[in-house]
Amino acid sequence: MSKDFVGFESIGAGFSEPVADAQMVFRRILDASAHPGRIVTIPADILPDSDAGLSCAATTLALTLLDLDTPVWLDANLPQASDFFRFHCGTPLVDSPCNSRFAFITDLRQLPALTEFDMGTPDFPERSTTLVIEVPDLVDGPGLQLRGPGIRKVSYLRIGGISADFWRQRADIAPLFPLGIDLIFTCGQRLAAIPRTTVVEI
Amino acid sequence: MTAGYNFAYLDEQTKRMIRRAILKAVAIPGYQVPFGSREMPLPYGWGTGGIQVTASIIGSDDVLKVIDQGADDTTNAISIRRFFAKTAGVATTTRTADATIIQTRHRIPETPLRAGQIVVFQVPIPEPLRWLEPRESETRQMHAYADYAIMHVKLYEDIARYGHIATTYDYPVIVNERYLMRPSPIPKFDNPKLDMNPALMLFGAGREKRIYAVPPYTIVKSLDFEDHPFSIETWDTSCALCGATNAFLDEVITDDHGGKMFVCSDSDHCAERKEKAA
Repeated sequence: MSKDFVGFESIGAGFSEPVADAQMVFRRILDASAHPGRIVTIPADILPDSDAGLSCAATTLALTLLDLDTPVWLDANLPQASDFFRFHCGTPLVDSPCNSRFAFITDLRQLPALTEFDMGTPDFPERSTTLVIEVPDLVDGPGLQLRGPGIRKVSYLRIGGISADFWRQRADIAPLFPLGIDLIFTCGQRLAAIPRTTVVEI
Repeated sequence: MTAGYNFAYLDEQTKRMIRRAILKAVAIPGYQVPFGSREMPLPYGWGTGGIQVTASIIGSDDVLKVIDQGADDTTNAISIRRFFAKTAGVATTTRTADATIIQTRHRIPETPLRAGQIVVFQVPIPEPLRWLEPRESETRQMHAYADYAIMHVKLYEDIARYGHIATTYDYPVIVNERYLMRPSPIPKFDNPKLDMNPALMLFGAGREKRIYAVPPYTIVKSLDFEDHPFSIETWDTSCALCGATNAFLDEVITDDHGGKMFVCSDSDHCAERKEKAA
């Protein structure tokens, strides 16, 4: 079979209730974004048959937020997601991280430098990449200390698999605010957000 | 679920676009994110921006409250509440404490908001610098470089002319020590409620096609000068209905002979106080 054809049999199902499911997932993503460090959980039963090569949280995020207006960059690890995203969301897939609105990362060792993604412009800082990073471990508790909008005093979050160098890179671009990269971490059904305004101490 | 409409009226493509705009608005507090505002089945100026934001966030388990100038029983508030009761089948309430989403025109409720609530403001003109600089290309640059000198000059001119800052509503604020923001025409009495509020505040301007946000627990400071600090309105009278002394009061004319009374602008707050007193 030509590689240009999507093999329908191999693509997992999307939402069974697209309207209600997308609303519910969005509210949890909004809750996470408005409270950096808070872990929200996506119920597994809304996506019983996901086979996108991504976690439940990352797949439902994609079904909720992606469409023809959101160029997506996928790391080399994600051939299944490429079929899934094109089939369910109609997203354009781009080769260069700096042209993407969303980027999905599963291979943390191959993560491009943060500056390779789109940080927006001073006039339009929202025209930037949101990184969705799959991590092996995402739990409440001592680890990172987060401060900033959405956090009353300080919140704590432990994220596995992310190097100290990654947080250094992020601290390096922080002074460029309002330019920046918004981060979403996913692990199984769990999801947490660290937008550009959050000050992270490791 | 409701028959005959997509849930909450808007189509899913539009909701996705608005949802992405809301997430970026939360990530860049106070910055106005442009969005593809749709024609809504009511005229601009009646809350089309707020309605689109509400339609994009609301779910079947939400409880919606809508107020206009603090009151639940005004035309705009009632029609928007009915709109969502019909197109989304959601429960509605007039009680601030019972609501999960509060859409508002020009007030923040007197009852303190709690964590988890979302306030949706209807915004006529989102750009705080618009009356000072009509060119969008220029105001965009001013925001890009946080060059807000003209707003300080405007407030200074108030002082030079009237002896005090004469702006009483839509009083400009700085969000998270960065973006100048128009809090929509709420009275300056409500400005302190924006600061470090546990609720999420979303602002939608339909005609001007902008969405912006103040996340929970965000520093929001009203502009002022050291020798002319920001202050809110006070009254030397209390609410004629419930006796409140620390609520925002409306002046109501009662006859043709100059008779008047002052009553709470927040109808739910006033009714609850009367209930408790009874």
